[in-house]
Amino acid sequence: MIIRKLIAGITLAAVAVMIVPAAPVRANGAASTRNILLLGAAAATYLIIQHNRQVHAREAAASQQQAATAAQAQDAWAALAAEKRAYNAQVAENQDLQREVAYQHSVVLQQQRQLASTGGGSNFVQSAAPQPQRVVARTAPKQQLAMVSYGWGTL
Amino acid sequence: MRAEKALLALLLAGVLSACGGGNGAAQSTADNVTKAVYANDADSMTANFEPSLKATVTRGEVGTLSDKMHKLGDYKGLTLLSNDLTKNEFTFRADFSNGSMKIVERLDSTGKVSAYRVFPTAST
Repeated sequence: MIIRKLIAGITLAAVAVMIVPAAPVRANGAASTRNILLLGAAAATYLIIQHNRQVHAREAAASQQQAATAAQAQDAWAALAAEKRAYNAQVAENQDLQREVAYQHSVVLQQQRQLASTGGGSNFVQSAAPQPQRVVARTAPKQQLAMVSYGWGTL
Repeated sequence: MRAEKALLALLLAGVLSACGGGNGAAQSTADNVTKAVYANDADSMTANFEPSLKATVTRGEVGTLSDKMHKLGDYKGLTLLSNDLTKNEFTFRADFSNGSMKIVERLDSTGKVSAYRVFPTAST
C-alpha cells in the first residue's frame, strides 16, 4: 500500500516536471516557476507518505487493541474452564466421600449383626445411631460415624 | 428452745441428705461396679445387677472392658456429670491416671443396675 502510494506520488511529480516547458534561452523567471513546481510535488509526496504512516499507525493500534481484547477474552475463558474443572473434581470427590461413608456405615451394621449373632443376644458393644450422611469438605475434620460403648443393658 | 432448734437442724439435715441420696447411692453403685470391672471380678460386678441383666454378662466381656480401663492407668474415681431422674439414669466421668471414660448407669425402681455402659472418650 505504501509503495503504491509512493509510486503514485513520484509519478505525479514526474508528470508535473514534464508539463513544465523547456527552459527558454532567456532567463525570464521560468526556472523559478519550475523549482516551485518541483518543490510542491515533493511536498505533496511527503504529505501523502505522512498521511499513510498515520493511517497505518492507527490501524496497528486498532489491531493491537483487538489482539489485547481477544487475549483478555481467552484468559477469561481459560479461567472459567479451569473453575469448571475444579468444580467437577470437587463434586467427584464429594461423591467418593459419600460412597465411603455409606460403605463404612454398611461395615458398622455388618459388625453389629455379627456381634449380635455371636454374643447370644448380648449387646456388650453398641454403636449409637449413625449421623446422617453429609457432604464433607476436604478441609473439614473427619467426623466420627458412630460412638461405640461397652457394657450391658440399653440406655 | 434449744431442743427445738436442735430438732429443726436434724430435720433439715435429714431433708438435705434425702435430696442428695439418689445421686450418692447411684454414684456408690457405679463406683463399685467400675472397681469390679477394673479388677476383672465378674461376680462382684454383677452383685447389684438386676437378674435379667446379670444373665447377659460374660466373663470375657468383663475382661475386655477391664483391659480397656487398664490401658488408661490407675482408676481414680467417679465424678457425677449429669442425671436424668425421669429415666433414673446417671452419667459419670471415670478418671484414670492417663485418661478418662464416660460411664452411664441406669437403675431400676429397686435400686438395682438395669444398664451400665462405658463410653471411651475421644482421647482414648
